[in-house]
Amino acid sequence: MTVDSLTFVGESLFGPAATVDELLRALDATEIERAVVCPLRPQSYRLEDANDAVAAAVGRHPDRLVGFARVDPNQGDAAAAELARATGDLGLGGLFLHPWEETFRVHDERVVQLLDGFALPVIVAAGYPWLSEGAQVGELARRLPEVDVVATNGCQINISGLGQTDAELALAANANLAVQTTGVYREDFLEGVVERFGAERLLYASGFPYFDPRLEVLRARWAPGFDDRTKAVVLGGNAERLFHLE
Amino acid sequence: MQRHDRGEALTREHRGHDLRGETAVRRQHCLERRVVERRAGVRLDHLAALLQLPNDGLLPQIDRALLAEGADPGRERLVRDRKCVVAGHVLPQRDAARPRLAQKAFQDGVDLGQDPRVIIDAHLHVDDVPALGWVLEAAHVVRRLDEAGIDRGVVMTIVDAPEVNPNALELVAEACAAYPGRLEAFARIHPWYGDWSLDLLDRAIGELGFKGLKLHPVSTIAHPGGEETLRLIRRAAEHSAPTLFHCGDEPLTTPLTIAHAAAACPEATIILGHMGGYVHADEAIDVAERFPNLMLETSAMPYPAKVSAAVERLGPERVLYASDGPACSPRIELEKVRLAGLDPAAERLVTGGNAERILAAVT
Repeated sequence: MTVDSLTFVGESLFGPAATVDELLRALDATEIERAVVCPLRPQSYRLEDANDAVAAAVGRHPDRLVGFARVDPNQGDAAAAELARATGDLGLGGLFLHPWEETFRVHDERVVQLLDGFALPVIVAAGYPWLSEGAQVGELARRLPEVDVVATNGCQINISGLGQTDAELALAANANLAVQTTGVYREDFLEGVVERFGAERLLYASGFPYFDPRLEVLRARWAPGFDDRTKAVVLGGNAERLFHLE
Repeated sequence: MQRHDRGEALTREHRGHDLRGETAVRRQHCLERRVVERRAGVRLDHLAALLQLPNDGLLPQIDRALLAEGADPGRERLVRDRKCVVAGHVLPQRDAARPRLAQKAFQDGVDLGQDPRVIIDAHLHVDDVPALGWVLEAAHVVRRLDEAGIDRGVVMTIVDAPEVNPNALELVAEACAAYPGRLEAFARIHPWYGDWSLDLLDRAIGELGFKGLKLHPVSTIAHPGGEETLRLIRRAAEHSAPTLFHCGDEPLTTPLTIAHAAAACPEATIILGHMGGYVHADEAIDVAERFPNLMLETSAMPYPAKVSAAVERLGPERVLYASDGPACSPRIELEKVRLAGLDPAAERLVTGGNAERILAAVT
């Protein structure tokens, strides 16, 4: 099975937008069978509506899509209630957190409380300055050792590579942390993750529609140092395991 | 076509159309002379149409040279080459104030046919940095270029001369010497060493054959608009050499910050490496619209759509393909440019023609 472990549908307050049909066409164009689909932050600011829309999309295409919920930890008890509704009533398979767009430190106490005892995987929009840098995502993973944390963007966004060491330290210290390939600066960083921490710690993700899947998939398919087994687990096997896609 | 085949084709073409005796072209337009020598050709009944293109007297000189050389009026291939010389090389170089002209010439129906194509990666690294555990060898660079079908690359160090590596220039020069015709060099120099910095740049370009200056304000913490930096940029411009800035999302490297240098040194060609990185690509295009001496370089910036936006707003002659390899994959980065969906003529400029023009201009 091939899996794109991070995509979005809806219309974002910040500009990006994608319909379910556009997402499916993007998957087909890159020969990817399934996708984890997350809500964009809607113009209404109501993440509940976006969660409903994701659940509806999954209901129409259960063979292609797996939905994740999105909540704003700044909302405290309301966030916890929405997380329970989305993963309970709506049947969504995990939680997506975006510290940059919702504005919170990823290891803030409210996040830790929200996720205490959470049994499903958590995808974190990682690498954003001040809020979800590699060391901060590592701290979240350290405080929640029972939660599978998946960091977008290789857990670092920096086109000088300045965030890579903190990302690697976070991976080294936390066995419950994995990273995605989205938009990563330097293919040798991805190769280093596989070499140092194992191929099971890296997942292909396009970040559609923020990123272009036609390019993003090449980071896994064309990585000079990946053998066939590595490509297979990065392009699907790891997502299948972590997100219980069987 | 394989690289060697292209080289043989050029050699054959060159032998058949030797323009080196035309003194006007030779003396007054050295860059164009080189281009014409390499790719010259014309059919006589197309001359009138070609001469309608705005020019500063250059085209008649080229035309006289071609006529004196006795070009065969029946050779369609030579017509295409002649148009390619004019539209793809001469006009963009000579007329920065009219950047749309070359694009229009292509859009008006220039047929490149099987014209030889050169792909140049304008940003690569060689270095040996024990503190980082990084060893980036020239052989590794060339292997990555070969895998991607790239003809030539521009290499530079990761650290600066004279500190932290006093031998940085020699390291790059040796890498280029090991692969003649494949690798060109940019000198990465710290601006804060006064005349020493200037002397290093003079030596790099004048003695070692380097083709440009590279500045990375994250490593030097020298502001792009600081006087020390501007002196280096201006000295590079005296050699007709470009300055490549690391231009990303970090302080001291954003497009608006580097715009201070572009404004202070209008005579210099300044290249925004990474064209603004992850979140400053739109800002890079905005700034390049304001300053015609800025070019954008595509490496590592992850959005094919921003490449096409840059070409649309700035013209194809102001965008350069590069990879920041070998750590970033030249093959994937080249595919990114192809995914931008440029028309073939624009893609040829972005993936090689522009770099070829810039490198050839350095004196």
